[in-house]
Amino acid sequence: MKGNFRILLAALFAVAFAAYLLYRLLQSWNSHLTDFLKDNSFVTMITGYLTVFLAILVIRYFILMIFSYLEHLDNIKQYELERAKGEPTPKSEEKLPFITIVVPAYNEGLIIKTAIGSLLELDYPHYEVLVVDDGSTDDTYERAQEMINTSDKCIVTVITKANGGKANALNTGMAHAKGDFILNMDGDSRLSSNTLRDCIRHFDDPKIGAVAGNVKVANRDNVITQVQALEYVEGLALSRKAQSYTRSVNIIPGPLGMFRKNALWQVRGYDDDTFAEDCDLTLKLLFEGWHIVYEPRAIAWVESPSRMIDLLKQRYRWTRGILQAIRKHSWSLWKPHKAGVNGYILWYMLFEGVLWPISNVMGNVFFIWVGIKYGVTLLLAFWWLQLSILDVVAAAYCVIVEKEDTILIAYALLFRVFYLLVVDVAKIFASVEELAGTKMSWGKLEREGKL
Amino acid sequence: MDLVSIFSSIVLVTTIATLVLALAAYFAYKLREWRKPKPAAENKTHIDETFEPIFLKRHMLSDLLHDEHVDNS
Repeated sequence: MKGNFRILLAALFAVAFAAYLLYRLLQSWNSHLTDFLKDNSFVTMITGYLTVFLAILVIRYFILMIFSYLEHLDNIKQYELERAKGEPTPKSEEKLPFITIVVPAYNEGLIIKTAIGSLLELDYPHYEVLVVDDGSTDDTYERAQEMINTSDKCIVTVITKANGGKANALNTGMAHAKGDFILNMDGDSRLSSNTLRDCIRHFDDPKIGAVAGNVKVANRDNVITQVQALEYVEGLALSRKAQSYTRSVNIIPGPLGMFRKNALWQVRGYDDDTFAEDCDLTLKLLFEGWHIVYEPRAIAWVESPSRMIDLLKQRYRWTRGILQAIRKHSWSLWKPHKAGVNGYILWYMLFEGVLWPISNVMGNVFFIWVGIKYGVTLLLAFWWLQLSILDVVAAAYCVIVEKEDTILIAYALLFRVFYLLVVDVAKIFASVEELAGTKMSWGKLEREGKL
Repeated sequence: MDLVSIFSSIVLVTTIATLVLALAAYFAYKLREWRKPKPAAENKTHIDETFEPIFLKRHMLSDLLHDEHVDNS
């Protein structure tokens, strides 16, 4: 607690120092710089665009924070109501619906037993675990079989099939599921024990088709994974919480999503024509009129890439997959009167997936060019400093709301300097290659078995 | 040099270094992907016009039980 307080204090100090630097930068803005901008219309034009982009970013963060805070307040109210009901009775437990957990696994031999073992410890009275071995070339099937009959609490079923991709494996699980509610996860995820109980309560509302879980990085053992831990909290959880306020979460994460079985059947399960089947399925559900919410207390711990090359491989696939999913519903971009809120969701996804990385990289490259060619480094410093202040403030807010490790706030600076630019460059190349129709493969990450 | 100049210079150098790192990392990734042998199983997941799509087909329980081995003994 004392350590957390010190880190928060350090973050406050960092923001104060950054604000002072900003003040000094503004003081340095002299007539020479104004004349320079006046004389260079190209520089002024690009600077103007980037200023507008910066303003949009600030407004976006502001809106996300407000909506996520309103959702946070709603959640607190809901939790208090639940607490007031008291401990569950055997009768109330009996009424809880049966849930099927589907675990698709392809070459997860290293971690599959641990993953299944953790599922047997979940706090819920009626559920089954269904492992779908997607034609693994290692001993995933044999290892998963070892977990059959190891618990009296729930049935473990293992299915093996020819390799057909993750979407096909999840559809197979869906077809075999005995429950009316299906929790889909990744073979390399570990769920918090309260996951089923916290997700299922949302389905009391018949309009809810799915619940997105909260994904967190488990292997925080180097700078790359620590920065990703921050990104998951600041970027993904904040967005999902804000979207949950309008019941329109746009990506149910692969590591943790619970679905109404009828809703899955209605949209015919997962399609196999994108590399982001989770995003594609979410969009299909939204377009069918289902509401999708986010449950922050249902946590999936995942092993994130710990090497830069593996991280790029993952982001490259995510970017192309999301673009493929958007393309499938692209009609709604141009017909907002028909698509309703879903049209705006798609525009938002395009902004985050394409426009944001392009503008970020363009801003850096452009200001470097201005710095080298004209010796004006002040613009780059302005750009970097304002975005960094925004990152630190957003990180502090998210870390406090999510009750996360406060050390993550310190990584907000590295996030801007080193991480985001590297990831954004990969995203731009991925977008270009998607437009060009370059072939790609799934690119499975090599697990280190740290879960 | 005053504080602003030092700060601006540090940001400039750091950003250039990161940009170079970003490009190098991306091309290293592409090179590794290009040189990596393609396993037979992975080839099935390629998006290819000649690849018969299996999506949009309903996976019925009865059909699946015929061609898969189910074990929950």
